[in-house]
Amino acid sequence: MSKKLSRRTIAQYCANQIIAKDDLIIKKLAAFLVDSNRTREAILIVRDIESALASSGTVVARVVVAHELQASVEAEIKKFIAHSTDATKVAMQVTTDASLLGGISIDTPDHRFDDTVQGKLKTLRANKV
Amino acid sequence: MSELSVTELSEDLRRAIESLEKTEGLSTVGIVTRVGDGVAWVHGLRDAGFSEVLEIESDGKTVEAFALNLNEDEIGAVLLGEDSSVKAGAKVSLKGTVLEVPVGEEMLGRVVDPLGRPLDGGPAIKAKKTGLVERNAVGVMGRKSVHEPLMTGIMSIDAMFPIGRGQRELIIGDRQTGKTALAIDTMINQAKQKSGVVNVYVAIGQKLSKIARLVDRLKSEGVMEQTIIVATGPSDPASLLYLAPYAGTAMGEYFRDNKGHALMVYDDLTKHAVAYRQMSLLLRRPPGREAFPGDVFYLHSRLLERSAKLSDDLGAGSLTALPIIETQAGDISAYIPTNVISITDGQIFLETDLFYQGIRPAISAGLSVSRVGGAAQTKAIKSVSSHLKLGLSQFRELASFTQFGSDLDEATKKQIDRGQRLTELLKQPQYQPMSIWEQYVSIYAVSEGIFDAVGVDKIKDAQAAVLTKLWTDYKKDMRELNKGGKATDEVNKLIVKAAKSAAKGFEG
Repeated sequence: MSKKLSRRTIAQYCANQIIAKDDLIIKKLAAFLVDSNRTREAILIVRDIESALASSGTVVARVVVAHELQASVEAEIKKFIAHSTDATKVAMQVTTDASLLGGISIDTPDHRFDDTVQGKLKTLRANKV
Repeated sequence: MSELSVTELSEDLRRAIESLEKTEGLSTVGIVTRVGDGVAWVHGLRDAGFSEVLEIESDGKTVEAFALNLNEDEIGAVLLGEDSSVKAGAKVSLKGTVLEVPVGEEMLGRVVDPLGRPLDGGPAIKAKKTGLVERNAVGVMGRKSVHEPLMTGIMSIDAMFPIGRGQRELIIGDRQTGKTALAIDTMINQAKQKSGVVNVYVAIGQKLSKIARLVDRLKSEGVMEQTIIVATGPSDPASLLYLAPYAGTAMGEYFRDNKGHALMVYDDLTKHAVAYRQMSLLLRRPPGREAFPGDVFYLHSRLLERSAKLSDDLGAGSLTALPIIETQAGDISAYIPTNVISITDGQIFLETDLFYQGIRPAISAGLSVSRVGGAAQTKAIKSVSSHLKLGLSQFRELASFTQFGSDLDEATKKQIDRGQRLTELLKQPQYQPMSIWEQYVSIYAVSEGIFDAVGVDKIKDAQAAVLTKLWTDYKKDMRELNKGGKATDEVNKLIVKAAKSAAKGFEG
């Protein structure tokens, strides 16, 4: 019986293939997960691939803001993420969520930056102030 | 109600809001993938260290956990709170510290949980210092051999199996044989003798009613002011039961490291091992003998190695440990008992048979031993107790043989008579620890044959009469004897004279 491959090993291979522009890699990965009955791990493997890509200089960041961003602000955020993560390339997915009330939240595979009003209120509540 | 300071409260709020203004850069986060049975599996957080504290976000509050399994793909973390409030997908961040508990004089007289949170309904503990829950034991050069006595006040222990400050002496026996009672008496004796030793009682999975009774008793005996109780009940998560002895030790170490002396009572390490087994099995560590994990020896050795007598350079403080182990049907060769026996510097073995014969404390003279305490025994007690253990062991063996016949030679008969009186004399009620002079006089009187004419059933009355007479007539000499030095011939003569006259009323 072959040894179960760790998620980290699979993710590292996939990240390398993505960087090498192997267009079929996502389909191959999906087939592998179905074949090895590991489809439940798909989300975690995607996070691991993003993490592996980040260590190679490509960061996938999910940005949530309360109001629509201007192009100049978006460029500034991209610059901030690149600077904070030592990334050479930043892929940003921006969404708006009015419940944040204000500020910005950035999620990368292994890090988070929460400067939202909602987050601050939560901290206040957790600290029972 | 305590008075509230408006300025202080407003300052608190201002500080809290100011701290919100500062947003640090990107912080490392992971997510909970699975949770259940007090264990959370976390994806991400590759920078996490062993035993590091994690903060899991859940419904507006934070649940703490500590990382115990660092696998390639995920982290196994043991929750310090209820697992019902932690959900899969919750964000997890590193707190940046390992586990710490508040330590210091402020803890005295308090009942706390293993995280140092008060359980006694008292005010919040404002300790100025914290101590690491997991900490390396003192090295070889930082130690000194055990040489100062830690009087338990229990005559059979102080005479036959003396305990020194910095020693680890195991109390082992079946259920309901008086293990906890021995430890409590020792704690009470520290207050009665004003030894300056701080007690730290660690209740591991004990019934809360039992802990409440203990607190009441310690309060009524005036011991609570120099005692810290770290309490965990049977319904607490296994993680808290696991942490309790380490947290208690951290609190005791504060006194040890500040030139003080502390006594640790771990009640009991069997339950501790069971809690660790539960955690380990849930963390999917491979089970070994009796399903305990492979490192169950290290679990207790690293805990008990922290009890030590420090060198003069480090302040000469001490931390003495009385771990308790419960056996099943007197089997001391089971896994956990043999482990702890091999770690400690001796054991007090309590026998069920003796207990039900009315011999209490039910200490087995043959199976009990103190490996290092001899050097710490007071000169007074040492001078009268040298043959006590051997004599008592021989008597118990002889007594079992004589059940089959009555044709005994004079020497054997005499040995049995003396043994019966000695056994009777060593019986001691709970919560009545004896001081050095009381122990010395009692043993000396028996070994000099003063009680030979007293009936076995009247020995305790005769002993009480002798002690009362000596305390009434020769208080000054007895106070001197209580310092532990060797008794002079004059004092011995006084004792013989007083004992003979007092014992006369009980002869026949």
